[in-house]
Amino acid sequence: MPTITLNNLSVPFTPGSSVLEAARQNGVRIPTLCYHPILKSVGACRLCVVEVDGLRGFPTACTTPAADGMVVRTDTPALRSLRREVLSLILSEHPYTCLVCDRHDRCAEWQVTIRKAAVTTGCENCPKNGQCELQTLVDEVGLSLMPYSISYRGLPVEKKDPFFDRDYNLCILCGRCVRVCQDVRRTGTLAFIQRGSQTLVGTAFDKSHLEVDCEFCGSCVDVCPTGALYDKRSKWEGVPETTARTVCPYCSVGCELDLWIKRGKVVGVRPAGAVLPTGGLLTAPGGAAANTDGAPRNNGMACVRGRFGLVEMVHAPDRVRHPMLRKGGRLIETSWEDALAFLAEKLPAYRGESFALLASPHLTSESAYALQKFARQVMGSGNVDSPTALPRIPRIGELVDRLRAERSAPLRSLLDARSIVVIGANPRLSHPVAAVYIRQAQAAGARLIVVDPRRSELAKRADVWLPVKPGADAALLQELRQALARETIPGEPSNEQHALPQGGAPQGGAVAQAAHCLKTASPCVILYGSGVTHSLAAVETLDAIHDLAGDLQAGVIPLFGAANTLGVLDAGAVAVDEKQNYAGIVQGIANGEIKALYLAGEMPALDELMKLELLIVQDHFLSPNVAEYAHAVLPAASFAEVSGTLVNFEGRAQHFAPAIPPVGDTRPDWWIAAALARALGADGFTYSSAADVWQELDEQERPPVGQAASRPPSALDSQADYPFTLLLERNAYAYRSSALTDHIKGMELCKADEESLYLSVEDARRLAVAEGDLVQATSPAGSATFLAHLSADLPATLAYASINPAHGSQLFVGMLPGSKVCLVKIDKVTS
Amino acid sequence: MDNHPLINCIAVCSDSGCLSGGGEAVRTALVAALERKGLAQQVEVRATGCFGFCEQGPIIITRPDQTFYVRVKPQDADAIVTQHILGGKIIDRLLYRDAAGVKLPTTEGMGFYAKQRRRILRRVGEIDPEQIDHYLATDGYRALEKALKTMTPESVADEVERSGLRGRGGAGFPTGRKWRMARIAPSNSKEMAGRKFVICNADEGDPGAFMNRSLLEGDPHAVLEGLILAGYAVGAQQGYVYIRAEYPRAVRKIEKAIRQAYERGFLGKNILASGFDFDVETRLGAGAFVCGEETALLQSIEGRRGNPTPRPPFPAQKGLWGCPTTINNVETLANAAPIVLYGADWLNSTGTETSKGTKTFALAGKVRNTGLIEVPLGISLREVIYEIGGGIQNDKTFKLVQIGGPSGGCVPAEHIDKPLDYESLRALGAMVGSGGLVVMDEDNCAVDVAHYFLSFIQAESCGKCPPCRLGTLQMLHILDRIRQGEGEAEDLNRLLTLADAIQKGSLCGLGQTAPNPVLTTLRYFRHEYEAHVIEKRCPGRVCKSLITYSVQSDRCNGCTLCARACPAEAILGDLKQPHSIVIEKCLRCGACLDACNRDAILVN
Ligand SMILES: Cc1cc2nc3c(=O)[nH]c(=O)nc-3n(C[C@H](O)[C@H](O)[C@H](O)COP(=O)(O)O)c2cc1C
Ligand code: SF4
Ligand code: SF4
Ligand code: SF4
Ligand code: SF4
Ligand code: FES
Repeated sequence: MPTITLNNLSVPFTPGSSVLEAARQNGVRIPTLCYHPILKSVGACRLCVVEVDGLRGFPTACTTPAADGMVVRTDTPALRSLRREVLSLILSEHPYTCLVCDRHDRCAEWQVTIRKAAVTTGCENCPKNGQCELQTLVDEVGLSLMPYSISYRGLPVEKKDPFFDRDYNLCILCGRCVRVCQDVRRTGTLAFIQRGSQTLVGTAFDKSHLEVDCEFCGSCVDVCPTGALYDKRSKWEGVPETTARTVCPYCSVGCELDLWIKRGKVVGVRPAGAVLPTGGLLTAPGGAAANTDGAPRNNGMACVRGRFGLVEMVHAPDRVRHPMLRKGGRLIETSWEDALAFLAEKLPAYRGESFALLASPHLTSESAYALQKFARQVMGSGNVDSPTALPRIPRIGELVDRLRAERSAPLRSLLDARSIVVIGANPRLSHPVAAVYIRQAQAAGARLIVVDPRRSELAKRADVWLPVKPGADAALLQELRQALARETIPGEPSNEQHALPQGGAPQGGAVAQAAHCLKTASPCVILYGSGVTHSLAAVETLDAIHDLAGDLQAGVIPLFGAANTLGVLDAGAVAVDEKQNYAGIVQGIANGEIKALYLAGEMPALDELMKLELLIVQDHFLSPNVAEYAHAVLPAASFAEVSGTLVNFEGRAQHFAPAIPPVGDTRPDWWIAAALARALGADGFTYSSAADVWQELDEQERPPVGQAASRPPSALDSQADYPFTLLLERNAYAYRSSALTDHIKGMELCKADEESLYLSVEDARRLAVAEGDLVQATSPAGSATFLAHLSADLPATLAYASINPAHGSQLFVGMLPGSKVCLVKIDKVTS
Repeated sequence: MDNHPLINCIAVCSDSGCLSGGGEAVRTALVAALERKGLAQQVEVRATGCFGFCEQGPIIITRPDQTFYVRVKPQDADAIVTQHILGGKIIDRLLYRDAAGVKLPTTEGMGFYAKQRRRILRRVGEIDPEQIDHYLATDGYRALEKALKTMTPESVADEVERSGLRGRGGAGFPTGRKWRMARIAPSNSKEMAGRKFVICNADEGDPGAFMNRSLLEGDPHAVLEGLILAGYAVGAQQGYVYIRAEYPRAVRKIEKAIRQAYERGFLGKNILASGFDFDVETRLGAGAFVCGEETALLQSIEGRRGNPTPRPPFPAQKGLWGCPTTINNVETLANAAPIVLYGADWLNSTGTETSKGTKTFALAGKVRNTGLIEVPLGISLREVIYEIGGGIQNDKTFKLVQIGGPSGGCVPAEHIDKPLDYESLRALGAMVGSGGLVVMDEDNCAVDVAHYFLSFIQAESCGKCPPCRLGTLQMLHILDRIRQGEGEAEDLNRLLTLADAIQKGSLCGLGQTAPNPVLTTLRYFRHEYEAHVIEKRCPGRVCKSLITYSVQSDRCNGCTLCARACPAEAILGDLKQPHSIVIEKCLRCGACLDACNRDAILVN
């Protein structure tokens, strides 16, 4: 190992380190402010200045590469005075009275917190008090006097945007937020504006974050060392008492999150690895830290749902906190004893095939396992499915499993990929953290090929966009394979030369271009999403992906919508027979064969529900889809209150522990299933913890999936009555059976697209529809009204709408939840 | 050869400078006048680059007789055609008169030109810059041909190194050595292995500086040829001209030159059948001064905000998109072709031991003759100010000259005999910089001068480093206090402490040199600062809070001009009676001073 002399001591350092990192590796503190381990160092704050033999002046440790034999001094009188000078200048723009007050330690005891001031005037009025890096720095640098006149900016605090406020009076221009937004998230929302002493952080043209397409990922808030950026929700919560590591239960990326806890409540969320351990109390990893293999794959990142959304749900006032039973037509709160007794009395009548269970892929593996075990063993019914996980079209489960066994790739493999193929997915909405990795890979030179019927946002960023007719993905992929076979590797003689596109017109066809890209840029990673798994041609497409991945020796990452799709498959909470899958169950309810339905986090919008003799709803909120029909409502504890396991799209089982005690009378889903089983007198349900369930599940033979009889997909050839193919995107604002937009104020603001339908310009002209008109789309199943938008990114007869799955849509009543396409006719709404 | 530059023509300066003074109208008037006389075919009216003596513009020169007409107006066109061209008679009233009142028909004997050496500017004002044939007819692209056919890239860099050429963009780094560093640096970035770049820095953002613009407008191919030679020496495949968007004419000219060079095979694939491929594009700068700093310039070309980045890595190691990159100033590059063509001695033979060749400067301020000049390095400041500049206007006393752009330094009268070269200027606390020379006289206040330049720098700081962004602001606050007579003795030490922190704690050249105007004025004019702080007096009579205006009754004849000019109605007095100023009302704007033609207004 190379060595460096730090203050007369020769010490080793990891090659490739900066002087700052080398010092930290050896326990030598150098004050820093703009440095952040997940960001590229830029040498902005000038606090980490050091003296290096042979280098002129005072280089910054964070940007100077350590070299073998380098002689460095980090703490000389000259450096100390320079640092004091620099910090004084930084503070000349920041309310500093409290910072340099010699009694600031004791202030909290005496001062009543008055937070009515419009702007922060001292530390006691700052949301970051106790966690602010300036507070630690002042002591570290040893500042007790402010020689300079203050140049306070006097800016209004920006409060227009959802989720976080921005008080740029507190900003010290370290640029961390700009760097994380530009270089890490690659959203480019934030930038420096103006120059000289007028320099500020802001958005282009000083628009609000909503207007400039901020993703509200919160990364900027996470890295800000001061109180300039702060969550609206936890603004005045102060320093958390403890933190707990957990796993985001929303999408299948499975980001690790640190929940901030105070007074038994979750008061905030930070993605694991985002917050510097220097600030405040956050040095120790969270209380009930989860066991995870390796570093957090989200690398300090999350998305709006994990970072701001889900936590608001935990303590939402309308959360179901107690069991409820329908009495006299109304749902009345009751105790667990009564609820269990009621169900123990009712359920035995429905043993056998008149009982059915629909389980959400947001459930933990333990809960899904206990629930399906209850259905199969106690109720004796095979009517078990998780329709939003994977629609039970024949063979899908098997094909997904085969890809997982043969080709699964870690998320991080995207960073080494030279080419990336995305099929049927819109990761920016569905899997924002995966989308960040794709953007990072692109920035590092990876080629992106997007297969999508419409010119989606991702398609626009792609090197090659392969437009495809809905349902024809397989044929396109086979064509791509043939083109690949014709491609020769560089250096070998070739008859056909495909110049890589230089932003110009496609040469030799998009497929040939894509083939050329893939041939010349390996390794390759393929991502597929619900556009594949939830399409009618899912089987053929998955087969084709398997073949293509084989040809390319590519890794495959499935972008499942829900956090635990694979876990639910593993737990056996899916149908093994076509008659017992979702469609079969709906049929059964319709024709009266199924009389009792147990909904664990599922939310079908079905008129058939009214026919049920017993509907059990187990959830966090009461979805309007089912509230009217439920006979018993069982309050489920949320992810923050339970321990359990989620299997992410990499196939990685992530265990996590509870962060807070259950809210109200809620119970873990697995606990409820087991309690019901015991109430029905069943054996084998004496689990005392999720870990017990996991142990049993882990020992089980993996139940077979996908043995249903093969059946050709129902054709989607447009019919004269329904001339349009409508692409439906499940948008990002639903969790279990609830629409986050109903419970979380900020979500409401950013769901811009929900009631919108996009039409090609050509179709719009034909229908005489103008931008902003109301249109009605009608499918064989129903109709819905949308705001029309004209789009140049759609071919004629293709339309696109984003649907909140929790609200459902009259268009696909009775269809598979999450269906991606339906045939519709579109009419302009007059009057 | 129709276009040979040496045939009959009327050269009209069409540099942005003369154009703004009506040069374009003069040119069209001349064309029309010639047409009226049926001479349009015989006499060319040539739009050339700058003759340098902008002060006297619009200027035209008739060739081959070289008659030098100044302050020409469109109305003069007919006289020029009939009297001069047809009649062969010199038009007396359009000739330049020197300080002694002598009329000079050509530049011969003009003080402004006598001490100059127009070597880099040798084609500027002679050729039509938009005609590549004019350039070719004056040895253009012969250096490139020589290099590609007879020299290795190493020997090109060697020749330049031997010539002693140092960067003209500020730091004065030896150009040949810079080229060699980029040549030997491995290019192993992930995406663009093997690529190298050369960049012409035409960002020229110093207030008042226009040397690079004039060179680009007057002889764009010379800069382009230098860039191609640099590309060859460095082993680059691509060059960029990074030029301010505020220079639209220069942009047009260099872009036209690039197109012409492609057409004639001096750019593109396999240049002159040598196997050397080289492309050049322009990139427009958005006008931030700091974008001229090389690392900020790279950021800007890559599409980011132009903020300087730490070095190492140096651009020569990891520059544009991580590839070795050489950045050279416009004028540096214009030196390259003659060095390669005529040999290192072409440069070597002028200048001093360590500062070789000539340098262009924009001479401005209180000298009689202002404009674009080119002088051998090592010339004394006295020669520049008193011979080329013709001395101080109105026979006032020379006080200081600000050299090297806004972050250069102020050199006082006592050092007027120091040579103008890299080392001497640095020793004085100033620098050659890009070449601004602003001359000040007894009526300038040292504190005010420091404030003026510092406030420019402060506004142009990229805002990244606290010492540069906020330290300069604090210095400005202090200077403001001093100017308002509220300075304290301690302020002078505070300025020094701040200057020290800014120099040591700033990332890039802008911050590191930002305190120079304050430091040099404090060094040479401390007594003036002290006068402000202690005596509450502004010796230059500039700082408004510290001066009073009064009327000298013995000189005043009561013409009321001043009273009518005063915006504050602060001047009282009856017609033909001596006037007086009500001090409480006076705004110290100086309107009375300008209005009075009897020198009766006294400023104290
Ligand atoms: C704030 C600042 C502004 C600069 N502006 C310019 C400029 O406008 N033109 C220029 O050629 N060099 C400028 N420089 C110098 C460049 O950084 C660089 O040193 C120069 O372009 C190198 O070319 P040379 O070696 O040919 O002088 C500037 C430097 C600083 C610190
Ligand atoms: S929330 Fe995310 S996308 Fe929005 S500004 Fe912050 S870092 Fe950028
Ligand atoms: S808002 Fe925060 S992170 Fe961004 S520059 Fe300001 S202090 Fe730094
Ligand atoms: S990307 Fe997925 S796992 Fe990560 S925070 Fe967002 S929803 Fe949660
Ligand atoms: S010294 Fe000034 S201009 Fe240079 S990087 Fe720092 S703040 Fe920007
Ligand atoms: S931490 Fe190195 S300059 Fe800010």
